[in-house]
Amino acid sequence: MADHDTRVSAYAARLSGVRKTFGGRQVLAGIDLTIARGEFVALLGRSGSGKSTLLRLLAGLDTPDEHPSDSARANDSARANDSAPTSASAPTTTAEPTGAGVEGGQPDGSGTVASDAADERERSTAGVEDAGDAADRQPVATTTARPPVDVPGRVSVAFQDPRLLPWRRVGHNVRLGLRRPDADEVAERTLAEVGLAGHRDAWPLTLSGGEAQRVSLARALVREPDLLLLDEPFGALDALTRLAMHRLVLELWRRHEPAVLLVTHDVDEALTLADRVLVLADGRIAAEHPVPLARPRRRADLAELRARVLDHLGVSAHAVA
Amino acid sequence: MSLSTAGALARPGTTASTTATSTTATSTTAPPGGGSARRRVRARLPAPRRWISPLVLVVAWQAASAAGVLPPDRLAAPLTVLRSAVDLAASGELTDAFAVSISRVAVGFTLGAAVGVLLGAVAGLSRWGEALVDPPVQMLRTLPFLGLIPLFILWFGIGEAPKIALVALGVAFPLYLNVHAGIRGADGRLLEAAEVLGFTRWERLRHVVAPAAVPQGLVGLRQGLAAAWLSLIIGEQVNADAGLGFLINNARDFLRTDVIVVGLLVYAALGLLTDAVVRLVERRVLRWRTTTRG
Repeated sequence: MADHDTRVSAYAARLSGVRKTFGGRQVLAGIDLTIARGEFVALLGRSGSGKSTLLRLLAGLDTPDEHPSDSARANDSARANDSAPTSASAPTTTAEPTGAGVEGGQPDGSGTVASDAADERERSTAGVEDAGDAADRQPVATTTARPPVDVPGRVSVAFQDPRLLPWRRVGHNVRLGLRRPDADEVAERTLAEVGLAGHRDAWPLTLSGGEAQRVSLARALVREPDLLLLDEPFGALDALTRLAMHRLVLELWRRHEPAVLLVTHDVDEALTLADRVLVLADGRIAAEHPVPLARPRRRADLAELRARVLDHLGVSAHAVA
Repeated sequence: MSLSTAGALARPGTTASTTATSTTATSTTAPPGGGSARRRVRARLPAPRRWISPLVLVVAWQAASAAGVLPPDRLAAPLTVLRSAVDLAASGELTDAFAVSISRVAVGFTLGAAVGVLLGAVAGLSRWGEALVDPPVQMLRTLPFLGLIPLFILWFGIGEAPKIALVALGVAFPLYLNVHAGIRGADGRLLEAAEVLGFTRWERLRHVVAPAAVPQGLVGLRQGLAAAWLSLIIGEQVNADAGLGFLINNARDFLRTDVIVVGLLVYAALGLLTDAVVRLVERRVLRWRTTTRG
């Protein structure tokens, strides 16, 4: 809590003109988005609309495309005033993330072990070098430095599949990678928060789908994220378990106050949970709906908003209802 | 000539390993039902009716020997085999031979396993490592390694070195292949999760990549051990002056088929024993897998 105060950014994440292309197909075609600290945002979209890509960019698992015009501009300016040491280094530094981005963007998981080092470099460059070059690269956007993806705080992710290490016990899974002396206690406390106090020594394969997903949530929360990314984490759960998980997520969000980006294709889920619902279509944010209702929300109060959101998703509300 | 003997000699080892796997199958299917300890013990032993035919065969063998149908210079009677086993054990001959053979396997296995695991890890963990290590290893793998004996004799002479080298070679390939494949097979989604969770490179290796490679690595260990015994048996046919192979070759010169059979049985027992050890390790190391919810 104390280090929250020392952090100056007003936002948990900011995307400025983010583009991402996979094999010639543009998945994201210029996304501008700011998520305030502590805000709960839901991102809706059909499958293939680029929701998960957006989340991966925020998680640092992928890097955004560079704008071809911008890097050309950077090259030009570097050539123009060779005397300035900062801009002279610009072409080499801007060129590198592009190469790394292509490598990291390969969707086959097979090469991940070997390219670990490259990934690590990529992550660090995304944070450090982008910030330095941003002024050169995006002169159009603003006069101040604006990296395309700016996540100032800690990020955690809960994926659609829990992705627990099956060979480590539940408690170990939660505390792995946590670098603090009281990791054990914190992990145990967080497990209790998600209602799995007694499962510390269980093997992940013995858990039900809902339990495993709660462990995954605990693992994300235990890092005290400033931004919690949820990638359709309830998609594989049965309806009753999903409702219980909604309640749990809201409760945890209230207690820990991270900003949340929930990626989902379930309109009701988005409207029940979020402060703001975004609709992603054709690589752009096609619509934005604030949900100014107190929680817990009743389905009846959401009917009108639901119709509008479905409309933006290209589904007639009457056809669905 | 040596190759045909090799085939006959190898057979006890292979049958031993198949019976071993069939018992594993029964024991793994039985316990998840829970049940009493007594039921579990019974599940580990074959059903009584499975004892009938082996016993009949042994009795028939004994009868054929007693009736003179099976002369002792072709195949000694079971009871004679048993008696010579006791004699050999009592005189210390068997124990000495046993110790020599075991130490050959131990040294050869350790060398081969170290090389196999090391190269497998290098090829699995680094793209350059794979590019440099994998092609020559795959090329060498196509050579029938038991056919290298003549070369080994020229290189290492006829002492301990060629026998140990043969065992090491037999062990290295299966371990290399399986460790390499195991590391490459590590789940990309788990690695991604590890990245998001901020694992260091060492943590990723220790908690994600290495455990992911263990099941496949244990398969390699089993194959490697089978290859080790096979290599030993064949290596010991070449001018051994000690060990089980020496015992058997010596017995052949004196038409002592009983001693030959004892030697074969000891080989088989050793193969079974190491297989049991690997299964024990497997059960301990992979216990996270066996507890799947029913």
